[in-house]
Amino acid sequence: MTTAALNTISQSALKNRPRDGIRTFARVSAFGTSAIIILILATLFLQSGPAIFTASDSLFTARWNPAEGVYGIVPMVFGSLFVMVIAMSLALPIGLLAAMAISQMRHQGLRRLTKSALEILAGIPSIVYGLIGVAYVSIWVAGAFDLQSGRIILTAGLILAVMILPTFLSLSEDAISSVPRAYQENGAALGLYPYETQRAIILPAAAPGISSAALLALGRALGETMAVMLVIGSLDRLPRPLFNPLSSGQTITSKLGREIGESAFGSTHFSVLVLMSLILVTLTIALTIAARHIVKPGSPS
Amino acid sequence: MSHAPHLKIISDNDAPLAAMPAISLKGFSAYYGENCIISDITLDIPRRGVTCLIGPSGAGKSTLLRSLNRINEHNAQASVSGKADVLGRDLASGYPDVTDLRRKVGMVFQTPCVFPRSISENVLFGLRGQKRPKSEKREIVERCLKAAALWDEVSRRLSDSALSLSLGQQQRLCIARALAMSPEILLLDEPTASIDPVSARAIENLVMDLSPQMTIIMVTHNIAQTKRISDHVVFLCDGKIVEAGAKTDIFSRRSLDKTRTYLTEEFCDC
Amino acid sequence: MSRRAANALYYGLTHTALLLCAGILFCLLFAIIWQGAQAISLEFLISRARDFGTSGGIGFQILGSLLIVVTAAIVVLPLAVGTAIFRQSFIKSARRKNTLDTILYALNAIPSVTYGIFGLIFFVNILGTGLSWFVGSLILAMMMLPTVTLASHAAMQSLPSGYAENAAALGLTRGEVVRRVILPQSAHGIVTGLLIALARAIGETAPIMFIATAFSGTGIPRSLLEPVATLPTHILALAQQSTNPQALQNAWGASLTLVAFVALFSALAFFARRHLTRLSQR
Repeated sequence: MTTAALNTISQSALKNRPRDGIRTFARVSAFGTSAIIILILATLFLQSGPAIFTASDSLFTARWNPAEGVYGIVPMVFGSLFVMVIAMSLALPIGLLAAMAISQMRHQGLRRLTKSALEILAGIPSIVYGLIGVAYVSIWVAGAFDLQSGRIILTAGLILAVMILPTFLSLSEDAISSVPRAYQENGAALGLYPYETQRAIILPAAAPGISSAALLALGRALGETMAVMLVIGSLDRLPRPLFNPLSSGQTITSKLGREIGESAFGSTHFSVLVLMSLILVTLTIALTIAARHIVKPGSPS
Repeated sequence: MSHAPHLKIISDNDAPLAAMPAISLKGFSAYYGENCIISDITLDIPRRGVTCLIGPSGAGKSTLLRSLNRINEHNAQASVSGKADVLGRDLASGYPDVTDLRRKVGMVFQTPCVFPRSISENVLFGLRGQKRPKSEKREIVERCLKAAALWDEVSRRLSDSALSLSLGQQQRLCIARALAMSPEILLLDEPTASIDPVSARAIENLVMDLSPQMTIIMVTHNIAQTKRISDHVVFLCDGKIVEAGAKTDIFSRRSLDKTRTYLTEEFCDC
Repeated sequence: MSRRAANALYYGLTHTALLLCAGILFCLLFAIIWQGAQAISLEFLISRARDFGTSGGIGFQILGSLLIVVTAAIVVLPLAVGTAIFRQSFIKSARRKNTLDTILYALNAIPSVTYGIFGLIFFVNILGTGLSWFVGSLILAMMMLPTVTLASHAAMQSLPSGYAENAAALGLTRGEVVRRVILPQSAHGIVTGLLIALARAIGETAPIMFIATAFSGTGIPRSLLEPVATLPTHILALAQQSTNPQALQNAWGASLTLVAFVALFSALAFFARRHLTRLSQR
């Protein structure tokens, strides 16, 4: 924008002054945006109502059998949490360590290259991850543990770890890089090793940003559907023993992806699925809001 | 391109200092990417006393200072060539672990940068990983804060956050932090440039108090300050040494015309 | 452990982690490109799928995917820009700004499968549209909304405040300031955000698989209310017959094509950010 441009504006502004249509347009758009989220949440809420009334006695059990009218959602909720824990316990340490390595890079060009490579990894569609899971990872896992099928909770956790890794890594690298570089230099001037300054000053200062990155990654892990659905084995039972990652399982999302299209609209079955989706949305929205609140107050100045 | 003449800054009547220089540069150059910031300088900086590096902006003063403890290596584009001895050992090969060098050669930057910790933790920050009894730590904190002329102001709130201090106090805390490592050389990069005049005076006084025990090399833009506190002066312009010598020589009629012009008009046409 | 050893360990661990990430990236890209390249030919890209996708090509899948996401982009653009303008120029109270931000972040947080379920309930069943590619576009537009809005708003916010103030000082109304100053100056952010959202949307499966797509028997739709075939749902169907090598090979071919579209949109976004930014600062 230049003064010349501003001059033309002032001249034309004197000539004609149209009614503020843009204000109405902006207002309608913002209203529409707000309406969408209300519409989505209200729809889910209304449709999951019947499940609470008609299936309430079986809802919190571990048995799922629509033919008998038994709709226990515990296996799916447990499966979601289990897969998420596996994915997070792999992705968090690797992602954090790699983020520290990137933030230590002195060469700006190399750093930018690494960041763009991460964006490529984050851009691969989840269905392609699913295909890789089906074609490679599940077969490797089956071979490694001598199983008949590699479509198990562990495989889903592994795929999910790779899927959330770039998001978490990239966001936590941003958090680490936003800590003033002067700290690193001042630490070095005192004869400290990079590791000592990182651990004592930089990681604590970046901690809010890193935790918020972890929460966002967690939200992604919970909501991821296609890749998990293809490799988890779709077994509506709790694993035996409970914490056996080599058992097939089911997550909320894989259940929804597999069954919502096949269940009749308006049936109890459908309603229970919508209820699970509502639980999922509540969790992911809460995680995102929490992630935003962590960063705001404690952010490094 | 003309080469700067070899200039000895040690006057002959200063025999004990001449015995062994703290820093000795021969044909030393520093680069940033393709640009030559310091070109082929030769210089001895004596032990003890305050040596001020003066010269116009962009003369290469800070670059020179930052290569002396190899903190310039934090920038991938910075590099040096030529011979440099620091405390009798080669700058590159004599210190395979760069942290050894930086423990002997402390540094305080232009902008105060205290760590977001308590005042006493800041003083002890460089001693991380060393096990010492609490009483000894307290002693170090007190000694260094006193040496940095900060003790009287903060002695009753040592566990307060260092960020609660004024900028001038923060800069003195940075000096105290560097002193805790008992360095033999202290590099100061315009330590008074970003703080108020009263604090700046306090820092000048403490630099003069410290100078009998250690080698202090200070970059400054301030001619009056140089006159007040320096023992030796190096006048740099455009990456070369114009003149170097004892303060009394530099601030006398014996100095070069160029130097005198800079000292009076703060202007240099090199 | 000595300090030096701790530092060496730290260095070793962090760089091993970085190498591991690089290795994963390399293996993934290698697998996708290597396997995909064996399946792709010009004929594969333009011909129609036969025998439930195990032979033939993915011509209609490509068309269907592009149709759905480009329509979604056209739908989302005015809504996102309008919302961003509202956030930038017409809200004064910090609390209302925060509410709007929370709404946008919440939209962003909704899992993709939930968008699909919402579409299934609201459009397909309550409004009775049946399977319809246009409903798929509407749902994808909702998913793209936060990305495009936030990117547009970020570009508007990064304008020097002097622009708007100077223009206002010349006696322009807020609407004129928006139209003549803010919009043209933040066009690069809007375009970049739209392309990033497109790159994400074209790979989405879960939101459209119940509501907008059919696996076989689809061609070019003649109305808004017909299903189409898309690349991601095609890959899904083929991946479920992964024991059939022919199906698997075609799945890889479709995957490489899909990843190529993602890369294309991302690259365009990259150039939009660089080139258009320079343009607007001229």
